[in-house]
Amino acid sequence: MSGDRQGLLQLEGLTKAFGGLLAVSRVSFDVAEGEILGLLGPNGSGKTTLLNLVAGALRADEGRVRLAGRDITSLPARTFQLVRPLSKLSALDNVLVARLYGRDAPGFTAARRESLQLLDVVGIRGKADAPAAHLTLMERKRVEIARALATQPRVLLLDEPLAGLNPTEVDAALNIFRRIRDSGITVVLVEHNVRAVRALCHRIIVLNYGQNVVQGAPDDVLARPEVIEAYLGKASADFQ
Amino acid sequence: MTILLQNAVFGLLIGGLYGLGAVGLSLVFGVLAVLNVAHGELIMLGGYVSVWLFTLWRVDPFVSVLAAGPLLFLGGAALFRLLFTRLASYSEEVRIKNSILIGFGLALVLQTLAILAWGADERAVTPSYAGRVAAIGNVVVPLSRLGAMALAFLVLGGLHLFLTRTRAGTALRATADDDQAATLVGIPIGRIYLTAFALGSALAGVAGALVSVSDAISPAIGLGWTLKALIVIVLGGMGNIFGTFVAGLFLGVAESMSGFLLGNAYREVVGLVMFLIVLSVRPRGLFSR
Repeated sequence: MSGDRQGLLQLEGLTKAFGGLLAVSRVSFDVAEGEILGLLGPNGSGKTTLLNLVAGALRADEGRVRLAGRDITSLPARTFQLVRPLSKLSALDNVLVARLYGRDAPGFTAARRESLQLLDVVGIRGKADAPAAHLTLMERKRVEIARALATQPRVLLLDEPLAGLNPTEVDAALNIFRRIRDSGITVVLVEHNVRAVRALCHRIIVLNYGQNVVQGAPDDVLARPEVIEAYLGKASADFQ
Repeated sequence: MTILLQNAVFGLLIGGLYGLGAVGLSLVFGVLAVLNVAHGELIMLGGYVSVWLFTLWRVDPFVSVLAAGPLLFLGGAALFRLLFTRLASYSEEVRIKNSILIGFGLALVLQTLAILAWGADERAVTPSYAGRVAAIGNVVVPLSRLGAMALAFLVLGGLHLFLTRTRAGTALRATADDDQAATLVGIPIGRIYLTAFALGSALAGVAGALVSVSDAISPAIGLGWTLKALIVIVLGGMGNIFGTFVAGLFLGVAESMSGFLLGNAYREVVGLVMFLIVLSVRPRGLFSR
C-alpha cells in the first residue's frame, strides 16, 4: 500500500537484541505522511522496543530509521515516552511552553491562542487555568496529548495512550484522536484496544516475536488467521 | 491613634521596598535553587549607582533606577558566569549549601571592595524634594518614600507581566517548577538560569536605587537587607510575587508598630520572631495556597 509513495518515516531491517533475546528482528515498513499506523501484537512482541528504536531512546543493533529521507538512526533521543507535566503550572502554560519551544514556534500571543485551541481539541479548555497537579488522570492525559501536539512533531509516537481508561473515557479519547487524525498529522500508535485501532488507523502492522507478521487495512488484518493465532493461540485459529 | 496610623504608614512605605528587595532573591532561589546571600550587597551596589549619579551629575534617584537595573543585570550575569554556573550540574541540596558558601564569600568581597572604593561612611542623595510631605488629616506621608513605594509596585507589576506574558518568562516559571521536565520540553535551562540570576540582580539594583531615595547608603547595609529579604520570602511563600510584596508590607508595618509600642530596640526582633514562628507553624509561607 505504501509502495507507491515515499514514506515520511522509513524503517529498514531494524533489529535489537537484549542479551540472547531478539526483541525486534529485521522489521521494515514505511509510514506515509498523514497516515495513522497502528502497531498491534501480543505482550512481549516488541512493540514498545520498536517505538523506542524509532524515538532514539534505544540504539538499534542493525537497520536504519529515516525521517523524510534523512538517516536518524544514531541521533540522540527525539521524543520522550514519559511526558512529565509541570505540576505547578496551569494546563494552558504546560501546552504553551511546549508550543513556545517546539518546532516553528510563533510569537507569544499566537502561541497562546494556538495552545488554547489545542486545549479545545482535547476537550479541557475549561480547565485551562487549573494547575496540572489538580487534574484527574484523564485530564492529565489530555494535557499530555495537547503538549505533544504543541511541539508540532513531524511524527507523533503514542504508546498505549488509552491504557488505564474506562470505556466512557476511551470513547472521549477516541473523539480526540479522530480530530488529531483529521488535522493531517502522522501518527504511529501502539495500542491494545482493538476497537480503538479499528476506528482510528488507516493501516495496521501486527508484530509477533519481534517480527513483522502481517500488515494491511484494519478490517482485513484483524480477520487474518495468523493474527488471530498470534493473539489467541493456534487452536482458536483452527476453530475459526 | 494618629501616632499609630502614622507608624503604620511609615511601615507600609518601607515595606514596599522590603517586598521589592525580596522578590529578586526569591526569583533566583525559585528558578536556580541558589540562595544568594550576597543579594543585600547587590542592593547596596544599586544604592551606590544612584549615589554616584547624583553626586556627579545631580541625576534624580528615580531616574537612576533606569541605570541601576541594567548595570546590575550585566553585573549579575557576570557574577553568575564566574561563580554559580558550575553549581548547575549538582543536585538541589548540594546546590543550595554551596551557593550559601559562595554567597557569603561574595558578600564579604563586595563589602570590602565598597569600603575601598567609597569609604565606610554613609552617603545620601539629597534631591530638592527630600523633606517634602503630603498631609492626609493628621498623618504625614513623605513624598519621596511614597514615590519609591509606587515605583516598587510598578516594577513588580512589570515582573508579573514578564513572567506570565512572554516566552522567556514562561520558560522561567517552567524551570522553577521542574528543571528536568523543562529540559524535556526543549527549554535551554542554562540560559534560563543566567537570565534568572541577572534579572534577580537587576531587581536588587532597582531596589537599591529606590532605597537611596530616602535612606543613606553604606557598604554595611547588605546583610540587613538579605535578612529582611529572607524573612519576607518565608512569610510570603516561595514563588509568589504578590505574596512577597504583601509580606514585605506586613513586615514593614510590624516592625514600625513594634518599634513604636515596644521601643526601637525591638524593631528587628519582631521580624525574626515572625520568621521563626512561620517556619515552625506554616513553613510554606503565610500567603501560599
